[in-house]
Amino acid sequence: MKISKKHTPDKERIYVDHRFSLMDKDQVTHKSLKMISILIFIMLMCTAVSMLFFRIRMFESNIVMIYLLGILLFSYLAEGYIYSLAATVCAVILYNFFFTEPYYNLKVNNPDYIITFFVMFIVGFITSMLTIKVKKERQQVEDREQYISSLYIIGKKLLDVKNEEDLVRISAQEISQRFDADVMIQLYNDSGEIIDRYITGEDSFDGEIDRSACFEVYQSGSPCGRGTVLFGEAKAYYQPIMNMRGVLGVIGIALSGTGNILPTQVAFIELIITQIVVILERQKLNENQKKVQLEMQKERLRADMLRSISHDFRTPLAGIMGLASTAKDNYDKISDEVRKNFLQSIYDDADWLNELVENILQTTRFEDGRVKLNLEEEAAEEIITAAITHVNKHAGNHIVYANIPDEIILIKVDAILIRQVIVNLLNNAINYSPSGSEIVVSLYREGNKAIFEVRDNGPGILQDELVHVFEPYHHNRTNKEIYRKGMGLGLSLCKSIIEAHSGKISVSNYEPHGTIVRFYIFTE
Amino acid sequence: MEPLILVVDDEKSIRSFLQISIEMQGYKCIDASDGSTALMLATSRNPDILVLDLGLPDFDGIEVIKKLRMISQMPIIIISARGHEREKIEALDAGADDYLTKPFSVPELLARIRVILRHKMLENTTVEQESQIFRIRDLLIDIEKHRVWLADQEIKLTPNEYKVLVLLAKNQGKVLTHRYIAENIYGGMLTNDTQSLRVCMGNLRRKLGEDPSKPQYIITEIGVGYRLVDE
Repeated sequence: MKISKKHTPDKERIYVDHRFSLMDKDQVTHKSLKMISILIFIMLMCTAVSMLFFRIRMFESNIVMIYLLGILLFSYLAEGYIYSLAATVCAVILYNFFFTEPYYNLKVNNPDYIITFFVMFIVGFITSMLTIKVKKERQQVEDREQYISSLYIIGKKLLDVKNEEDLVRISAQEISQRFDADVMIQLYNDSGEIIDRYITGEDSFDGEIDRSACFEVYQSGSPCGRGTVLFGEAKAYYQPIMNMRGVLGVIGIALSGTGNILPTQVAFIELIITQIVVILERQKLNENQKKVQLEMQKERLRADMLRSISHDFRTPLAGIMGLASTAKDNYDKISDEVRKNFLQSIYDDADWLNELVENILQTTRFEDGRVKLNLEEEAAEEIITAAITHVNKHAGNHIVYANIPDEIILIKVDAILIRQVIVNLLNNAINYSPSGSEIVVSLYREGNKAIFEVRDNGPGILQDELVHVFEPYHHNRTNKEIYRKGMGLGLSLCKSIIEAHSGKISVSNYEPHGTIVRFYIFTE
Repeated sequence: MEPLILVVDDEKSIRSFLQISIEMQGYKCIDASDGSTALMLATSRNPDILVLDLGLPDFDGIEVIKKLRMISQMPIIIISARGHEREKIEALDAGADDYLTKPFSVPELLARIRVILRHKMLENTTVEQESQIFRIRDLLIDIEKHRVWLADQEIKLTPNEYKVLVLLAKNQGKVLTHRYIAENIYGGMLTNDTQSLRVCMGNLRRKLGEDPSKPQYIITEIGVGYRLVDE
């Protein structure tokens, strides 16, 4: 990595304030001119004061002191060894010129003065150097403190990030603010696609060269761009975000002005990159952990589901097989009436299997996340009517009513899925209430909610069962006899469907007896 | 001559019980197990009704409908799996006349076949003069006078409600897709405005005094469209 080093005055500073970081040649000459004029001014002042002392015949040593004071003062202001050397030489010459015999001449009569000059030079130079050093050290301490505190602030902000998007945004903003530059940060996924990208200020990163530079960084894992050998003509400097496994992202920095990025700035960025990498790893670890947990949960659900499905299937299948084989083996021995009953039972069992398969199908689609809601503006009453018509075929002696308001309530839903919910609720009501029971489906509006209710006057559900009914593969054990008609998936599917529509479903007991399932969907 | 019905399904057991049920009704039945045989039979034997399963092994059932519609107006009843509502609508829009969802009940299919055959017969006998009065149960529609009676009580309908009712009556027993109805009522401008159609149907149902748990006149085919009951 080659970085230009023409800013020698700032080289030693660890943290580089952006105001100085961009100093170019013009500014350097401007500074030296200013320093020379200050030098002249201070020397003039010293000479003037010395003249006064000389006139009132003070000790000569006081004049030396005045000049030493001037050197110190100037060194403090100029903070450069060349400057203090110049000031010391100046002071010695002036002292020689004005205040040693012969006056107004550089000649020296008394050889003692040579010693005085020499000591004056040494003292002046050493003290000025010490002054500069003290000042610089103080500056360094201040810079370091600022540097550490800004790192601390960035670190603290980065700790709070919730996702990669935030991480990229906050890091880019912080670097941009501290360097007075446009910053771009982008992250890649494992297959090299950009997953997050954030740019502060102008997009200086879209040029052909810049894109190539950025790509090069991603490929090689070493910095390039402005101020480096590779793609030196790019608008920005690019640095990779790397961990042990490879490049995770790229930071691009386009400094305003014409200067190149400084090694100290690079060091600063590297520290931030370390933090970014740590956070990315943490994020990834978290995600993996969540994934594993979810996978485990899914696995458990799948096992439960298989168990429940095989149970639910076996019951009607046993019926169908038994009835069919009995009818076949005893065809001549059984009456037409019995045969007809057998066939009807076979049909009913098959119908039930069909309903079961429908629920399983919808449930697996929901679990895979494959379900895409086919949302349409629908009249809620039409869905209710469709559901009732559907179950009426096998409602037996149950009486199903609908209570529809005068107002036509429109909801944006997947009508097929909502019908499935009502069908499941109705089937449950039919299965869990004795023949001849009344089942009422009601619809009404409450604010911006369309509320659906399915109520039966069967035996109801035991209090401690109520909380579990929406769990998948839960069978109602209130009545052992109708346990075989379990709707293992029915209610949990209803819950998934209603929640996918941002609604809620709840179940409670209806007084004096019966069950009431209520769900709502927002009308707007 | 007894009507001829072509059954197309790749499942042998379905073909066989359909054939038996159809022949028991006194119709003749031929069958095919794939799309190309179906097209061949449809053109060579010219059946009165085609009962078509959309899931065929060789090509898409919708393709069969489109190809057939280029050469013939033969009534088509499609059979599709539940949950494939898009497919149903597509098939109806492509020109199918009716649909049933698998697994369907045979009496239901036979009823649909009867409806289509009756319509066909009516068309043949009264070609020039379209029927001006519809009577379904207690509902009476006088198209010439633009008036509707329910159990001898005249009911007032808005122009759109009336148009929908007449449209359904003219296609009695046949399912009409939302899009088809909207195109015919609003003239194609508002085909995506499902809201107004829903409201219009809701009001119409209320005026016809429909029991939401047991509709007497208008059957809602959820996700697909509406149909007027046929007897």
